[in-house]
Amino acid sequence: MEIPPQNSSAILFAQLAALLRLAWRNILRYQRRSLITLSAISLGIWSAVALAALARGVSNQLVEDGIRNFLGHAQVHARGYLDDPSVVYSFEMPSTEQVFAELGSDLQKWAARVRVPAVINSERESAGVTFMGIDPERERGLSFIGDAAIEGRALNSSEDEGIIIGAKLAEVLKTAVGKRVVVASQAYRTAESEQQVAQRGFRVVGIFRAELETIERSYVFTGVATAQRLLRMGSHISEISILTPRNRDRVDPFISVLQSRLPNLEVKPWYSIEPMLRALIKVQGGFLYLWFLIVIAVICFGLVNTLYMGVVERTREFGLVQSIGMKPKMLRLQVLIESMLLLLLGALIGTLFSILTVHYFSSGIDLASFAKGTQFVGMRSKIYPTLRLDDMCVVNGLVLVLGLLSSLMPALKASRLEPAAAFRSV
Amino acid sequence: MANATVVMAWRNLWRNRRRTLLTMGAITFSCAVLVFFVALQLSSYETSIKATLAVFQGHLQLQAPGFLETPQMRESLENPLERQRRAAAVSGVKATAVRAQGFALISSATRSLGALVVGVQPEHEPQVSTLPHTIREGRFLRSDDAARVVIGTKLARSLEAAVGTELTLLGQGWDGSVAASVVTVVGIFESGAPEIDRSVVEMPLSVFQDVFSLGDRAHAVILTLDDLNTAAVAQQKVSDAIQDPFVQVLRWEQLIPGLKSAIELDFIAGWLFYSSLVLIVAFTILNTFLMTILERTREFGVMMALGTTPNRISALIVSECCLITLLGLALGIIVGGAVTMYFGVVGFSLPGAEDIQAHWHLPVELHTRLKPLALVLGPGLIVVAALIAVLYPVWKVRKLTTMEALRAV
Repeated sequence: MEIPPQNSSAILFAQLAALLRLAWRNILRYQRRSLITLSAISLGIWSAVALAALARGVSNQLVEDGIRNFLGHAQVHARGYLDDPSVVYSFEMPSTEQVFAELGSDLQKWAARVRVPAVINSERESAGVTFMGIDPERERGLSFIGDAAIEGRALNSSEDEGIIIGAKLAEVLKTAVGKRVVVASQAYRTAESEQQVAQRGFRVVGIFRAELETIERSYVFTGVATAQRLLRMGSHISEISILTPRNRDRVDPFISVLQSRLPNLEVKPWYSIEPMLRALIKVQGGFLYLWFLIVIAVICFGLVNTLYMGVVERTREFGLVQSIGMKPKMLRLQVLIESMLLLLLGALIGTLFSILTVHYFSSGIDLASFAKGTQFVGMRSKIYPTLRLDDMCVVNGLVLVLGLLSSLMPALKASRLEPAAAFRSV
Repeated sequence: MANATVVMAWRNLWRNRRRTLLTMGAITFSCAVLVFFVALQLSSYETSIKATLAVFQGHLQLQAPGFLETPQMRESLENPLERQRRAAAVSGVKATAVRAQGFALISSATRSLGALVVGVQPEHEPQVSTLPHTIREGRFLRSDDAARVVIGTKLARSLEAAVGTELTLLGQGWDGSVAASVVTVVGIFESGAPEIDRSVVEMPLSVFQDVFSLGDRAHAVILTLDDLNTAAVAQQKVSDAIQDPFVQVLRWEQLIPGLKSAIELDFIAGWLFYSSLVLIVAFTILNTFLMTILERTREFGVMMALGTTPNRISALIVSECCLITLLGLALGIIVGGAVTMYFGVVGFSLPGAEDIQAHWHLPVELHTRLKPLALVLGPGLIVVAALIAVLYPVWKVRKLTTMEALRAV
């Protein structure tokens, strides 16, 4: 009987479908072996993704904190300020204001500040600090001081003449709410006859708490107008900090647009001002990818083993199917598909477990016992694991690719078993 | 008896070469990774600590009891030279230097900034701190200098000062009086630590004591030791030599507790990763042996029929596991050790980590040293994990009855 010529791709498709069904049934048949292989794959993926989420959580927190500790997504300064944050490098506010108004929705929040190094004296002690004149309304949601917990009262406007200092600084200076402190800093000098250093007394109206002691020690705040008056800046300011509604890694286009509108000033993204933050993320990412490779390599050693043993265990079965006409190529494909199914399933389970684990720890992991250490590196003492899609994709991708490679030899072995010899073996 | 078990175990291993080699491969690979990574971590800690302390902190410090909490002018040390002499006489102490410090406003013709002024002994300071060796312009202080200072590059830039510039110094003296002086910049240093380059001004100790009305008092005696690892012992010896309840002898861990804690944190974080790898290796061993005993059920049945006790069979399996593990570990240690020593010569550097390395005072190329701890921790954990892993397959074997086993395929 003549078999009419059929579409070859249709045949292929039918064959694949059949193989798929066979493969799936075999997996279910050899439960123990499948379970063993699945558990190894899921364990590896779960551990890799969960640990990566932990590590990412730490670095993510560091960056977010950096941004809240006045970096913002971008900052605007007069040229030369970043090298030498002096009152000399300040710029005019009003013209900039109009540019910002034009940018509209690309700008989520912005705030203008006076920011200079200063010396603060209480009755008993003195310390070096960064003196910041802020507009408390604008800082809300932009930097940490806008929403910080303050004992006493917060600054109420940019005209506020009180000063807010950190809890640790209050301790060092042995001062408290209601007491007086003197702030001295270099002022703007238009004539030789003017004093270089300006100083005045401030009443401490509030004491703030921050996650990091260094922040509490280093920053003091008053109203922008007050600072401008003290330093004889007129309407000049030291910096503008900006938050965009985008992802913090995608601020480049915004930066270039803003820079072109402000040709006389310097517009810089957060990662240029604090390059160590980005370096940390890059290095960490590099290490994590290397780690993924290591973990999956170890899993693959075990995978090749279990696949080989599984194939050898089924010598008779393979002998049988080949003796009734299954082509070696098809058998190889079947074994490959079986292993692919196990890999996919294992990857799915592992990923699912890691998502559950991260969710379980979503309220944070407390590192209170390492508080001194975390403070030293600028970390908070609570970590929030953060899953990243690219990490999950890389891990799963590596498992599938390397797992597939590991399955090639066992698949080859399966097809090489001689039916007759296989039958005779026990 | 035991010998026979081991010989049989050894032979069993090589009956299925591929399986043994693959299992060993997993163990060797993870062991090598663990040995190298732990050695890398430990080397970087050691280097970082040494480098950080060398810049300014020193290994031990003698201070007045209140100085650590509130480093202010009034927390001063009496008879610092006498203490220095006594401390220098203690064995193990390499060098000593006396310092006094205080906060002051420094002004040039055009700029004013707050800075930490440190009075140092020009003959001794270079032996306890690397700062005097990082002079970029001009020179470091000399014993015969009067009102001369050295400042950091960042500070020089912010003050618009250079070698030869005159600076005014305004602060508060020990007795509450105004401390003021005019000093000349004689050298500019670049220690590499931004906080130091931005805010430290060094002047001769005698001049400092004069300007700040300290008399012959100071604030700290800095000690460096021949061997940093003997710090605790040295601390005790120095304390005994000084014999004064009003002088505190502090180790670097107490001076910068954050550094030790940060290192511990990093080490533990590393171990989170390493233990996950050990877990996976243990799992691999478990799987391998599980499948092995499934395959050899009939063989065990024959053995049991011939009179082998379940104990002997358990011993056999455990021996096989031990042999594979020990062999794998031995190879892993060799490979890991070799990689560590290779980087010890060539130097290990992470691309893109320059900023981070600078921050932790790590050189761009880290020369990894093989530490005994690195050779023991990883492999040790794998041995323990392997022994635990093999328990389940052994348990399964013990449940076999001879008849069932013989009937297996």
